[in-house]
Amino acid sequence: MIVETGHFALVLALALALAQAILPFVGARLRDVSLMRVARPVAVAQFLLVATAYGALTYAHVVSDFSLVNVIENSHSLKPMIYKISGVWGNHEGSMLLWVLVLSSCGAAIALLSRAMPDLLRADTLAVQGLMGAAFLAFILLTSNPFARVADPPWQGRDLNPILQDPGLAIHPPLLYLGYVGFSIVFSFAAAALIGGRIDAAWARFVRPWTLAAWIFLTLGIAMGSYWAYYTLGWGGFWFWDPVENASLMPWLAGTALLHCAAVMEKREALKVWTIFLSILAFSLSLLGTFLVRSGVLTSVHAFASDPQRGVFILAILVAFIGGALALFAFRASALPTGGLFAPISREGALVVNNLLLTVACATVVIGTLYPLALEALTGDKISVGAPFFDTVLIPIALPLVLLMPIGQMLAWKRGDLLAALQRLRAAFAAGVVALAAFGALYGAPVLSIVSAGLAVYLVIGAFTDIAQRVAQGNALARLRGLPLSAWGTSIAHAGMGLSLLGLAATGWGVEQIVAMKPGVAQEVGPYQITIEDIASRAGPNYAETYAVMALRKGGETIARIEPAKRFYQARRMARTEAGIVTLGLGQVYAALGEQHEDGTLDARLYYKPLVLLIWLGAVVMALGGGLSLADRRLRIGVASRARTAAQPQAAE
Amino acid sequence: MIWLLFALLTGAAVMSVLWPLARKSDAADAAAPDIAFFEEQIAEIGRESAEGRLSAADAETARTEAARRLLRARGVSSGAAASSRRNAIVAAASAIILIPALTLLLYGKLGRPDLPDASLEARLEAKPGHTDIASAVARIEAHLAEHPEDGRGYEVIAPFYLRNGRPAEAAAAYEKALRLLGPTPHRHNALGEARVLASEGRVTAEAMSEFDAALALDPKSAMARFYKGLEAAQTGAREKAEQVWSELLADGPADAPWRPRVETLLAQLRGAPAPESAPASEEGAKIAAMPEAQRTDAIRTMVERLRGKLEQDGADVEGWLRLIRAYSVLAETEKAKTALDGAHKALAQDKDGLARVDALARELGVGG
Amino acid sequence: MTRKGKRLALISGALAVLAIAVGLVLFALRDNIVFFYSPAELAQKHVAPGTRLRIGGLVKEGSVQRGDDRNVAFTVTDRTADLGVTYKGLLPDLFREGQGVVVDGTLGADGAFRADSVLAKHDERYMPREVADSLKKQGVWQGEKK
Repeated sequence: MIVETGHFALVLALALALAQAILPFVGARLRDVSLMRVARPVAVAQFLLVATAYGALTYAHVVSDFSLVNVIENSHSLKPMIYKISGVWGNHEGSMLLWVLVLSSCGAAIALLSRAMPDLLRADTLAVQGLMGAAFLAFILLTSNPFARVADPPWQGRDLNPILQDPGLAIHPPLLYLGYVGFSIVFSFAAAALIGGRIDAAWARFVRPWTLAAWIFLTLGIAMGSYWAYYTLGWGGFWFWDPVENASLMPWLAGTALLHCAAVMEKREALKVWTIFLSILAFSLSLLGTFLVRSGVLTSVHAFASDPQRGVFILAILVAFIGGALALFAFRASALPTGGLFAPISREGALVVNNLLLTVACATVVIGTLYPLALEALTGDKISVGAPFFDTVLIPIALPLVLLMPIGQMLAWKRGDLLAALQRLRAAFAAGVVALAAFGALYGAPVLSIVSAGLAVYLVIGAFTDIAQRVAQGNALARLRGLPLSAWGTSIAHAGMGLSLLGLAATGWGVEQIVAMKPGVAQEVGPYQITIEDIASRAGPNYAETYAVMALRKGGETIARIEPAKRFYQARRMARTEAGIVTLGLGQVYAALGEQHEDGTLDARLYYKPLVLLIWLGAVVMALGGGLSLADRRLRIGVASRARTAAQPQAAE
Repeated sequence: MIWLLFALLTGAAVMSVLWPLARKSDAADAAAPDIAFFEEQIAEIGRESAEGRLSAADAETARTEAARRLLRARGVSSGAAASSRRNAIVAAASAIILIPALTLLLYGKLGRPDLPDASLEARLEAKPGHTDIASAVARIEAHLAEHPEDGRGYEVIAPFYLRNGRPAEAAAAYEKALRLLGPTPHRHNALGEARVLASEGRVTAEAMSEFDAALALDPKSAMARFYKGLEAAQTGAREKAEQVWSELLADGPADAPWRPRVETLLAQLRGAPAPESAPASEEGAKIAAMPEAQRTDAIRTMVERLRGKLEQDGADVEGWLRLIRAYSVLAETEKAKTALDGAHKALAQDKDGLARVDALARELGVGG
Repeated sequence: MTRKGKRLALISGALAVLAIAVGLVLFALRDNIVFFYSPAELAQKHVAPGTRLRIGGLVKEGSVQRGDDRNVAFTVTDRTADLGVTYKGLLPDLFREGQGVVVDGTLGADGAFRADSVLAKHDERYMPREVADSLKKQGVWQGEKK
């Protein structure tokens, strides 16, 4: 009964989503307040129904109800509880249901948190949100129904892929989805602004927190996915330019651009059209990512659904929404009122450059991801576009961007003084150059790593320069307290970017060795020596493993022991390498086993990765900065100052 | 009951549409929230400037700008939106009709309201008397999920897995039994054998390590020695295989059940022509070892015994198939035909069985 | 600057960045793209030695030879043509004879392929798409095992 109630609730949610799409929209056109106000309770009710369905599916997984095809195929009665729950979204049908759950929760959130919003904007926004919900609910019910039943249930299910039974993977998809789908709100706001023909600072004020929230989740989701790949796939890489990873990077880049653009919009009412465009872009790229992953167009580790019918359905949704929004944009954008003016050298100008570079970077990733597909469709040639392509294009875009980040922070709104900004950054430049020299002297090569590390140090110092100089004037404590949270947010997020960059730069100084190790014979890895002390086998809950006990020494002293292993999962007859990782400060030593030879030697990959943790810590710091910014509820106006910029730092953040 | 629940849900959903329509909406000025926003912004500037965080000049600039926006927002203040009774009625009516209609239509197509929930626990409790193998396995699995340290449970369940063609899971279960209950030659052997079956009959290194462990505990273990020989034979070490198996035959009791199989394999290894199909039983192996004339007699006796059995109980399709094939091999066409007729009578109810018998008869040319 | 002048400056700046980016993309696409062939396609194409390629197929049964110092030689086949591959390094967990494999590397003047990376089938359901396609063409593919 619980299961079928969930099923019924899902169907009912589709009907309500259609009501949510139609009634408020019609109401908005007729200027009928009653009809417009239907949007709020319906959005909440639709969310509750989808939540009921999701709860019912989770219940079915938890109690191993094998009368559901979805449970048979993705669960097993002996699976640990956490993986029974995460198994709900570890498969195509369930993950689409989670997607819709997040979508409808976004709608409900707008409905509940939008007391101050004009009726018209709310009605149109929720109507667009409802239309999206209806499209995806129809997709789920017609092509990927998680509630499909069998009359004669079997007694056992077919397990979840062991590589997916991992805590990192259990939380990473929901985070990514919160990010992806979070942009749907921004998309709906943009569509509503275009339909209603009105956009101003108040609009941006509603949009910015949603953009920030989605961006925070996406940042964390990407970092989590990357760390998962790093420690499970066993070859030390953390980003593979796999199309599925690119699918999350594209909306992140667009979202980052949007974040900065929305700041301009809120404070200065400038760049309106551009903000709208980026809002559409960010969610369109999320949809594109969903399409790429879910349609099976690309085959990769994540492609657990390759069904052409589903692909066509998602493609239709994609074309309808992106095409519809862009068409609306083309017809209506020119009707939007133009915004505030600013000089090329100003905070706004700097943010325009930021947007330009981020958008170009985003376009590059889109091209690199779609070009192989297009080429194959047109000529039949199969190619792969990998790290070399992305490195060649993105590094020349990213490094100038980093160079400009602190400078932009220093410029005043409306018209800035470049020379003065540069002067104020003297300390940061000096620190960067010193770091450059120090790293150069220490490592000597590669040049890219040294330059990046110098830039990273400059960025971290530069991010806080503004705050430091403001505080240094007069009553430090009072000034510190008076600083708006969003100023802290900006600085911390930029510093996080700097930390990540430092971690990335340090990959150039890592050591990677593939060696045949003899037990008892020490092997140099960077500043450490690794010795195999023992090789043995043992049985785990659902696998058997061969592991090596390795001692890590530095200067004759044993620092740590690691146990890299090779696991064999009986039920799926699948092998998996379990890396042995030890964290030393911010760096790590990473060992993965290869084959064992008859003479007792063991092949192994050994890595020394200095500062590698900074890559992910930086992302966490970025998200923290975003969180602080989100907490800032103050309404401020970017203040244009008059020719005193050089002498006196401004309160504008 | 379930339909009542569905009706309640649908009612609640429709209510979420009707409620705002029924309420008397005060037609608020559409621009009011914008005006409030800019007023708030101006107030904020005042506060900042009062706290000294904003210089007077800057505050003045900001205030001017905000005031400009405020004026503009007031300017666009569109004609207050109204709500019409007629619109509300049309909307309410269509919601009352269309939402349930669409839901019932689609759910009627997709849903299975007739199927109850079937949680594993409930199903296991529901049929305690009835024990088919699958539910017994599920019952033990459920027990093991709660008591994962119960080694006996794993030992009990493993042979079920083997019989159901799930050797990999059998191996996993034996492995746990071994770990929890401690090593015995038998447990090592069972695990090794399950692993062999899991790798389609190949004696892998993993399987071999178990047999070696069994031999370490019991150097006489017949099963371990058998597989040790098999491993040698599979890897092409013929002499070693011959040696292991010959020793096994020499040591083992004369009536050991494994003896015929080892003998056959050994014979194959020594280059003897492999029998058309490996003798299926102990008796078959014995017969295969007899001299020619004696063998034919023995076979005839066996065939007659089979015929006697089938006359008593004719439902055994396999038996009939064997009987017909045997007569055909012995070139006793008449008897084969009689057997065919007998099968037709005995299997009149069993269409599938009959079809198989006829297919064989056609293949062998029995009964014209 | 006048309003028009500012806008002009902004637009031309944007165009300049775009032009540089397009140039970079084209440059990178020319130099960093790797074509994917099956052994049979490679045999027809007459690719110049030294070109970076990606080859997909099955590891031929009985062809894997392990040498000293982690040198491995094996044959990639699509059942129509074979290609000898040499590789130095660790083979992935799922590398097995008769299984799908994708190798990256360069074609030597002697017709042998020197791989610098070897990717194996990820799990029993996963087959590199390119391999599955070309095997389907050859009729060797039997569909996904469920």
